[in-house]
Amino acid sequence: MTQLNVERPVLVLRFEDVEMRYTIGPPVLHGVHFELDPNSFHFMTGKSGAGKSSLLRMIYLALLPSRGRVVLFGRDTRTLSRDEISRVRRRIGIVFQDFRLIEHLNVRENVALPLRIAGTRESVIRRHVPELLDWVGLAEHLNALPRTLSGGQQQRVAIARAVIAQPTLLLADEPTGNVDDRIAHRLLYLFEELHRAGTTVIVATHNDALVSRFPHARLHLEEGHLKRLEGSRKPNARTRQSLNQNDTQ
Amino acid sequence: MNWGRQNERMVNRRGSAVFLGWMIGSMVYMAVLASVGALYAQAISKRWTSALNGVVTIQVPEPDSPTLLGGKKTRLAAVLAVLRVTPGIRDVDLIKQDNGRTLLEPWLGKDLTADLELPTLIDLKFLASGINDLAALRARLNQAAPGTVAEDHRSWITRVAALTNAVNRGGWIIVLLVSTVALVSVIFAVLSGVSANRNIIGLLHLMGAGDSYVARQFQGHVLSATLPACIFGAAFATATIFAIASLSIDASPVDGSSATLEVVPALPFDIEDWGIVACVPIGFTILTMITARLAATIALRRIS
Repeated sequence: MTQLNVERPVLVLRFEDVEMRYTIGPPVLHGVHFELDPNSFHFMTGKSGAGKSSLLRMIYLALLPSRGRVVLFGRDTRTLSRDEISRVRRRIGIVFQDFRLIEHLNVRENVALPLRIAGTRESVIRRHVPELLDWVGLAEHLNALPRTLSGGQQQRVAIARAVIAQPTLLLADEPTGNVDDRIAHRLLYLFEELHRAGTTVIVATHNDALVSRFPHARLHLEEGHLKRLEGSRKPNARTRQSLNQNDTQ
Repeated sequence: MNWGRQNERMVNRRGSAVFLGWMIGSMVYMAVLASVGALYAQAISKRWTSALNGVVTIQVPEPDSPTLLGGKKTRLAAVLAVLRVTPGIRDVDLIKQDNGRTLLEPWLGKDLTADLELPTLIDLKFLASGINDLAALRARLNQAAPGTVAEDHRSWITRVAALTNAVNRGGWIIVLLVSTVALVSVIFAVLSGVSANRNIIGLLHLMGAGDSYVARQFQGHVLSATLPACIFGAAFATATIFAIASLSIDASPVDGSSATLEVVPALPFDIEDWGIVACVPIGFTILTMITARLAATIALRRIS
């Protein structure tokens, strides 16, 4: 009998019986066990305080698990040196709930940051940043300071900054929290585009209505426990049409 | 499209940059002046030492009077006769009395100087072997023309050299102190910058920036503040030096005479000396860069 030796691609992320607690008190997360294949798209859902942000912080290495193991791009996060952590983080794009734009830098400079950190050539930066900002509808605001923009515009700047370096893993923490439904759909459509281009995407949200309109699996957190729920719906023609209409507006 | 100098702007410390610029500019100004003062003292010391070392000045009072030994020989001729037979003398330079009067005129006035009966001065320059027995020469000169004085400059040259060397060392100590103060101010500016930009640094870290990258931003920030400051500080110091030097030259002619006082020469610097002076602002810039990088790297290591 011939044995097929099919090499499995390295998992993007694996949580192995992870527990997380802050100093004293009950654990915020416990018994969390899941893995993400490359080029997958997951929503992370759960009520406020369910542990979504803590889980995301463990993924982008701002926290280490109190117990268990987090394996990111095939590396145990506990064993990474300071320089290795920097290198791993360069493969992750993060959309923060509070945007975390640098107030004294204009939109273009904020978005260019990941490319500069990665040592990208200036000519490439000057070409790609305006292109992406044009794509997210901020072509008119390249030189604007973040404080002069609306919440939704700032959110799009934060998203553009997270995706400009074409990360392997994109983490978005409540990326639709400050925008209306139209913009929210448009942003989700952008994440889907990235997903199709090969990026693994995790979108943390408590907007169940939005989640239900997309077909992706859910990582649902409830009282520190994680359940994986498969996505059931494909976006119907009306949804797709609606997204496309939104995108052209 | 204006992209700006992003590396220098990532850390937002415009206020501290102005303060740091003024501080470093002032320090460079003082350091350049101190270094010029040190080199000036050294140059004067060198000049006087080389000019007067191995020189004996002989004063012959009443040079035209006859000697006590009788005959028609004047006292000056008797002294010169002694010098001609003394071994080791390289050069005998008879200073004209008019020159002596010219030197005294600024101090005593023309009328008084004209009435003065001045001694004749003779500068003796010895061969490299130097003065072997100045006491014996003095005795022979006194025998030929009593009252003749042979003055050796070594004792006061030694004292002047000690003074100028002290000024020289003091100048360099000032440069060292000023540099230390400047570097300490850079360290504090960087530490306060790291503290004030903690959130931005945290964000850069989350985006994958390593400590070396963030430290480079602070280094760039310090460079943007200190480089113009070093250039302006050095330029103002140079302007000050030349302004003082021009005053010194203007003061040199005596009563309309074209002769200059060589005792305190104006900027007796050669290219090497100017090279050393130029090293002060350049060294400041390089040292502040290294200090900023090290201070930022150490401070960033403390941020988890």
